[in-house]
Amino acid sequence: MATIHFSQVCKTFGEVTAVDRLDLTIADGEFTVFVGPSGCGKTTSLRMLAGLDEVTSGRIFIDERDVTHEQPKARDMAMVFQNYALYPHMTVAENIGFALKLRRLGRAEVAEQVSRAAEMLDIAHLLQRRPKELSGGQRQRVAVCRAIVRNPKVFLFDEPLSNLDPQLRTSARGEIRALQRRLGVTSVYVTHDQIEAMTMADRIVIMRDGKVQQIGTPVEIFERPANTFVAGFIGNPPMNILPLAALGKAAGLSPQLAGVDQSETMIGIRPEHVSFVSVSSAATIARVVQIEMIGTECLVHAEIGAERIIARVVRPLAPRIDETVGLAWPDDEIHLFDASSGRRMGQNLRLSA
Amino acid sequence: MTQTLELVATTRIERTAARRKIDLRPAVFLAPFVVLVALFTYWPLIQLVYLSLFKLNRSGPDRFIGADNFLGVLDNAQFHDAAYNSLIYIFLSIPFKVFLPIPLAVFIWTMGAKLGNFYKAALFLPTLLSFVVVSIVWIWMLNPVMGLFQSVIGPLGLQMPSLLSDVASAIYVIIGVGAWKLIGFNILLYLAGLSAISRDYVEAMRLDGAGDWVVLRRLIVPLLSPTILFVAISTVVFTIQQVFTPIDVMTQGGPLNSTTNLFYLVYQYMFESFNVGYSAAGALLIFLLLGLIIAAKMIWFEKLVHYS
Repeated sequence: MATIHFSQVCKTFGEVTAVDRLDLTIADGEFTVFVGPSGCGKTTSLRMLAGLDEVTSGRIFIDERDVTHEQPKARDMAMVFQNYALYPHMTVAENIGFALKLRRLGRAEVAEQVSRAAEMLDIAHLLQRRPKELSGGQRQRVAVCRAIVRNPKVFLFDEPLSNLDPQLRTSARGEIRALQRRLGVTSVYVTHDQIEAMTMADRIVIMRDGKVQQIGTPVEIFERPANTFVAGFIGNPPMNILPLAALGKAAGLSPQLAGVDQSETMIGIRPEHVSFVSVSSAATIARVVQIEMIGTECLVHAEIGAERIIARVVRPLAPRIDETVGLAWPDDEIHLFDASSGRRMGQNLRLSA
Repeated sequence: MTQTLELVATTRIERTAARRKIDLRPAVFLAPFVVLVALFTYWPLIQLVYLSLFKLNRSGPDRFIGADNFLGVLDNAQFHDAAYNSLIYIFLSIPFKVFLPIPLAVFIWTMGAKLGNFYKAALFLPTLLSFVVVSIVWIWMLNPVMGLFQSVIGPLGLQMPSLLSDVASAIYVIIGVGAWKLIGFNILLYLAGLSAISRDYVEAMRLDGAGDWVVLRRLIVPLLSPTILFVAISTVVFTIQQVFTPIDVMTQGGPLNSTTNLFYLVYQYMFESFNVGYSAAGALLIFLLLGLIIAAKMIWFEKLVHYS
């Protein structure tokens, strides 16, 4: 049980700034996901929290205690590594029980706690095997088991699912989240997969080039992305972001857009909010250039002049390739961003939020 | 129909004929190696056995004398000294040449590339030098009258002892010089072994609550054990043979046989006292000793090692 607080934490490697003034407070029991493209500083932030990387400047607190310069072993955190880092020369039981043994618990007590944790993760039958005799999914469970057996203050996850195949990944993320809820341990989870972030997080921290782009619940981030980067990163397919001017007269029709400088504004529309209407009644006209079938729905790529827009519609509603279509979207589902800074504009523009 | 049958029949015959013809290509490629090894390793070995069992006679046929040479050698006081010293060379070399490089290698492993490479180069340098040169330089440095060490401690009113002419110390000087020369090489071997250990393991263990000592003992040493075993065996074999040079250059086995070893003694039997039989018998005994070490490695030590 712990709260975590990053205060103005920076990390530089030579000339490169990996993490730039990270300010974040993570509540007790919260599941926070750091997400962003590779090299955005998410893993470095996690490693600084773990004590594996030195902090260049700033402070890190666990509860009220300043741990900025403490050794990893003094921080009482458990980490699940991307490649699991199971000790290859030890059996599964020895791997899981190692930390307990270092705490000088008796042999019987270690064995009991190990088997209890192993039951919880359904790996009790694997205890005498060595890591190389396990499948990827089993190794991942052992790694999680090794983390929970210690009952630490904080769980750290460094892309723990990225080496699993897609089906396993889906079930594993549900299990990890359920386990964390049951144990109530504050957790920090790093991933580059926005779906993992959206499905697992209480709160998401989106990073890019060492800077935090937005911190918020999955719903907040999805509904009110703070800038074009967040808007484009979250959601699949990503939000359409076009210069407002490209939409022609459509821009003028919407009452919310009155008074907005068209040349300085980008408009964001999620693909699922784009619908097709008859050309005569449409404000925006586009030509269909590509259609991708993804199951019940399909992705329709259309061109408005030089700009491209993607619509996600159920299959019967899809137009044909080369067809000229009218596009429409609900007025309260559009997002406006400043063209030069990329920041979200007019916080009250999105009426439904 | 008949045509097809004939065709099948001919191909079958051709195939059997091809199978019967032995493919000589592997033999051609292997030949140079086989010839060289046979000529320079196995033929001398057979000769050695012959020489150890016969008394050579210039004016008549060689005379079979059974185990006389072996019994003679085993009864020889010089041989006892040499065997005893050989054991000292081996057992004292292990801590310095096999164990000491482990923490040094781990230390270099944890450094950045720049500093690490500097240390690697600095420690490897002695390996590149000729053992003869090294031995002569050390004789000069240790010289009690005009050596480097004397010039350092002389002004303090101290006198450098004559380490190489003292029965009690000469062998340790040779062991020290051998270790000085070999440590860098063994460090490189360990670094190669360490490079296969993922740093994630170390980090995982630190988060599990381990300090440096626990990481070294519970993680690095077990994962490095195949390399440690290899270094130990090669160092022992190397020590028995290679120490010949510093012995010959620095002490010639003296004072009072205190630095001689089996290798050096076999050389002396042959080229100083021209006792071919003793020399051959001694060489075979060394062969046996090394064989026993390899057998021990395969029977016992392999079990202690974790192969990933």
